[in-house]
Amino acid sequence: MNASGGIAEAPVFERRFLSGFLLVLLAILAGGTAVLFLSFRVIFTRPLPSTYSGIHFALRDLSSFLAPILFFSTLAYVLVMGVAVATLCVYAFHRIAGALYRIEAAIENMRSGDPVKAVFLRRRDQLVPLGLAFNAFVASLRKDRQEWLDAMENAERLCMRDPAACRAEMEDALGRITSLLSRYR
Amino acid sequence: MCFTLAIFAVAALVAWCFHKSAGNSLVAVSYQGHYEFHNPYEIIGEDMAGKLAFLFLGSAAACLLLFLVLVRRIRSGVERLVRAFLRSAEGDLSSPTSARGPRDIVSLCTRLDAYRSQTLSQIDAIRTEAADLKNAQPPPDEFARRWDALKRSIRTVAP
Repeated sequence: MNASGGIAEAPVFERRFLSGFLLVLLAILAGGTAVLFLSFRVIFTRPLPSTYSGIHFALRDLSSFLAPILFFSTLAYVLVMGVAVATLCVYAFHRIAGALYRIEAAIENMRSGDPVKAVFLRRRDQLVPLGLAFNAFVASLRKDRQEWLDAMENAERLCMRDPAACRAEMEDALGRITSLLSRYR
Repeated sequence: MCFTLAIFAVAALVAWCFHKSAGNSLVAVSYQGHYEFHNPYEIIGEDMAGKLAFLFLGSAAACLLLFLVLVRRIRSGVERLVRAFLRSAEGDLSSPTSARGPRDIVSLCTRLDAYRSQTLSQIDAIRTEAADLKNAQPPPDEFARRWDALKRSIRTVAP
């Protein structure tokens, strides 16, 4: 397997990250549902009056108050779950977006002509193949650029040694550069 | 946001179903053998537990589905980007990345395509100038000036 194949086949997400996210999500949902169950249990286990008519009216009242009870409890459930899941998603997004943000910043630097550095990811960052592929691209471009410059500098060195063959050496170097650049399309 | 919306949809459905069934049970019991019950939980407890179990399972299933869709979209977008970087390393700077997936990935694809296009223009200019300088046979002073300019242009590629 060559380096490119290795990078392309590397997992985008760690299995531990995905299973951890799912487990925490399920735990949040289970906890929220359990709290909702206990709240309903507290509300609905209040004893009924002891008289026949008292029970009748208490049940009728409860059936008419059921809508607001359910509305507010569902709203509270959704809000609490929303905040908990949003917190989990922010943590996960932080791990996913780290690589994207660093690469985007590096590309912007390259576009504006600033010196390019390799992208280093944090220990728990996801999208590792993306960072590796970016570094491979930059390394290949810089290696090629160095080869083009080496061809020109080599011709200049030969020029100093043998001024008579200077022009021929430089033209050879230009031919070599043209040939090296021809792989870019 | 989409996880919260999914939870909200399932919770609203469960609340509506529970409201209908529990309301009907309470009214029916209030007219029938209500003297047998000590609290409302004895009437609607079983229904409530079933509905809350459905709430948990429904929310979990909706979130799992969303999670799988999101992971698939991110993975597909990232794999495209990785392939684009690897193709670029092999010299292909013109095939578009064909951005898809979440907004951040599409934005990165657009920037990458812009950088690849800019680099290809630089390389094309260098290639043309190198070929021209080799074939045009300019006088020595002009050759030296253009040679230096070419070196400066090369240095601007991935500085």
